[in-house]
Amino acid sequence: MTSAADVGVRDTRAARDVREAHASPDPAARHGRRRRRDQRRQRLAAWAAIIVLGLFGLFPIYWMLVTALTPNELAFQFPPQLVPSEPTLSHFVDFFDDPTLLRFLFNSALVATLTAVLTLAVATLMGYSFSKFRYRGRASLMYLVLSSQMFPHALLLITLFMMYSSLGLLYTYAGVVLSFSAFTLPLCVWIMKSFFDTVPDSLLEAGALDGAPRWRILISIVLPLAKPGLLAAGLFAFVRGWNDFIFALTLAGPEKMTLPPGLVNTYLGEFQTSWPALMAASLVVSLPVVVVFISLQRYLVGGMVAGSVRE
Amino acid sequence: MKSTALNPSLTTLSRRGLLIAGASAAGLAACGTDEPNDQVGDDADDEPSVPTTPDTDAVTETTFTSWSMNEESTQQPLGALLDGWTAESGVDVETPSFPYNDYLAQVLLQISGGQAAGAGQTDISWLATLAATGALADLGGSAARFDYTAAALAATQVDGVQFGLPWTIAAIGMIYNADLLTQAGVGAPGTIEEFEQVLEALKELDVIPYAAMTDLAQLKDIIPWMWQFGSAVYDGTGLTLGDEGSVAAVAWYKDLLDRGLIAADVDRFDARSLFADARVGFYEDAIVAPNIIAASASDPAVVDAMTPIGRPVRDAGDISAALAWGHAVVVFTGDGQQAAADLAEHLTGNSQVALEYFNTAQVTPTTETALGASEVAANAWISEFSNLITMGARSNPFWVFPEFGQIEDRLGTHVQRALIGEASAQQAMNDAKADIEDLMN
Repeated sequence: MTSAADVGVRDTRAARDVREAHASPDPAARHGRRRRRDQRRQRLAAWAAIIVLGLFGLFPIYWMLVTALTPNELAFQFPPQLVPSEPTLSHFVDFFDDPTLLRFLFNSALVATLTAVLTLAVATLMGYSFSKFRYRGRASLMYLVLSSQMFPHALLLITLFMMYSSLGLLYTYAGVVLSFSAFTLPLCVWIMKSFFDTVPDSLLEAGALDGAPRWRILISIVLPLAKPGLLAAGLFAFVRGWNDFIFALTLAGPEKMTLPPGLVNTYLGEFQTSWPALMAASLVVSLPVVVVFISLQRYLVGGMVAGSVRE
Repeated sequence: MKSTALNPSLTTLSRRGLLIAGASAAGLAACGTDEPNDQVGDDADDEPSVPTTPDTDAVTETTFTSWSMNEESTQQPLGALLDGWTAESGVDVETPSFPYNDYLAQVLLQISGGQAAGAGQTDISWLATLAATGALADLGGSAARFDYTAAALAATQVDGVQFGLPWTIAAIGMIYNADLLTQAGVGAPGTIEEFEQVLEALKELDVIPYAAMTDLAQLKDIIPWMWQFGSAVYDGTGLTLGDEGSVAAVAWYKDLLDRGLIAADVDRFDARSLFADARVGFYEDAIVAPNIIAASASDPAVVDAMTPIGRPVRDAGDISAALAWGHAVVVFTGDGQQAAADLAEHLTGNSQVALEYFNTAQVTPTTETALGASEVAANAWISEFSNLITMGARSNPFWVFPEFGQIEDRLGTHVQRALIGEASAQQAMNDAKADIEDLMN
C-alpha cells in the first residue's frame, strides 16, 4: 500500500482516515477504531486536567508540610527546595509540648462539637417546621433565614460584644457557641428542610394513624431517613466552629480561646512570624477535620445536593 | 407534583407545645449570668476581685493587656517582671493578650464594651486613637517621679497630656549589610547621590540594592524620605503634600524603581527575610532588628554584618531623618486605676526593672539612669543605632489623628499611583493632599 509519506502528504487525521479506509473497507470497524481513539484522547485530556487541578489544589498543602519540616533559618532560603534538605520534627514536637496550644485544641474541639449539636437541634426543628407544616408567614420566615446568610458577620461584632458584656456571656463557652450557632443555622436549616422534603408524607400520616405523637414521628420516622442530612449539616457546623477566627478572638477571652486566634497569638508577632512552627501546628489541627471529611464525604455530598432533583 | 402539606391535625400548635417553647427560651436566657462581665480574663461566674475604691491597698488583682505576653522573645522576661511586682505589691496580674495586628481593634472593642481595665501596652502610633476614646488616665504625676528622657516623654504625649509612660522609644532606620558593600567595593554613603552610586554597585551583585517599603500598606515609610527632601508633610496647621520636598521624594522613589534599585511590592517582613538571606543591601527596621534577623538567618555572618546608618541626606550637613518607634504603657480609667498606674511605673520607670528587661529581652529602656548603665552603654549596636538614627527620630505627623490608619492608606494609594506611572509625582501628591484633607475635615 502506498503510504502518505510516499506521496509527500502530511500524516493528518484525514490522511489516517483515508489510510484506514483503504486498510479496512468495513465502516463499522473503522467507526469503532475512531471512537476508541477519541475515547483515549478524551481520557488523556481528562487525566491531564485532573493532574493540573490536583497539583494546583494539593501543592499548597505539600508546601505547608515542607515548611513544617524545615528549620527556621532555612524557611526562606533561595532557591526554595521542594524536598527539605535538613528535615526536622522539632516543630511538631514543640506543638505537643506546649500546654497552651493543647488547651486551644481542647477549646476548639469542645466549641465546635457544641456548635454542631446545638445547630443540629435547632436546624432539625426549624427544617421540619418549614418542610412539613403550613402556617402564615412560613415562606417569609424561610427567606429571612436564608437572607441572613448573606449578611457580613463581622459587622455584628461590636454590637454582639456589647450585648454579651451586658448579659454576662463574654468570655464564656456558651457565648461563643451561641454566636457560632447563629451563623451556621441558616444553611443547616435549608439542608435539613431539603432532606425532610424528600420524606413522603404518607409515612408521617401512617405514624399519626398509629397514634404516634408529633415528636415520636420526628424522632422515630423522619430523623432516621434524614441521617445524611444530619451528618452534612453537623459537619458544616463543626467545621465552621472549628475555623472561626474573629468571633473567637473577640468573644472567647484568653482561657476559652480556640485554635485559630490561639495560633495567631502564638506564632504571629509584631516583628516576625514563626512560619515553620505555624505550618506544623496548622497541619496538626487540620488533621481531625480532614479525617472526618474523608470518612463522611459521601454523606456530605448527598446532604448538599439533597432535594435538588424532584421525584 | 407531590404535595408536602401534612394533615392539619399534625400542624396545629397545642398549649403544651407553647409551654415547651416558652420554657426553652427561658432556659436559653439562663445561660447568661445575672451580673454583666466585670474584667477581661474573668470567668462570668467569678466574683469581681477588684473593689470599687481606687486605693492600691484594697486591690488584690489588676490587668495588664499586651501583645508581648504572646511573643516568644518577651513572654518569659515580661512574665518574670510581672511576677516580681506581684511579689512586692501583693496584687495579682491578669495578662490577657491579643496578636499585634489585631491589638488596637480588640482594645477599642474592650473600651466600647466597658471591659478595658488596668494597664495596657500600646504602640506609640496608637496613643492618639486610644486617647480620643477618653478611656486613658493622665499619667503626668507618674511621669514626674522618674527620670524619663525628654524625647521619650514627648513621644508618649497627646496634645501635651501624658497619656502613656514610655516603655521603649527608639526609631525605624536604615541598616545595611557591610559584607555586601565590601563585596561591591563601596563604602557607606552619606548623601543621597552617594547612596544611589552604592545602590548601582550593589545591583551588580544580583541582590536587591535597597528593600524600600513599596507594598501598599507600608508605603507610609516614604514619609522620612519626604522629610529628608525638605517637606514637613504636616506642619501642625496643615498638609504640605504637593510641595517641592514631597514631590521630589516620590519622584526619586519612582526613579529608583525604574532603575531596578528597589523592588516592587516589598513589605517589612519580606525585607527582613531577604536581608536574613543576604539578598538585600539596605533595608529599614527597628532597633531590635538583630534579634529578628538572627532568628531567620541561615548564615550567622549576616547578623555580624548588620550595620546601622543614618538616612542619606540631600546636602552634606543635613540631619538624617528617622521615624520614631516605641511602646508605652497606658492606664485605663476606672476601678483599680491606682494599682494599674503603680504597675505601669514599675515596668517603665524603675531603672532596675528596666535593665532586667533589657538584659533578658533586649528592650531599650527610657530613663536616663537605665540608659546610662554600663550594660546599655556597652551594647555597640544600641549605641550606634541611637547615635546615628534615634537622635533624628520624629513621630509620624499623622499619629495625632485617630484616623491615622486611613490617612496613611490614602497617602500610600497616591504614592503607588506615581510608582506605577498612573500619575506624575506632582499630580499624585496634589491628589493625596486633597484626599487626606477631605478625611481630616
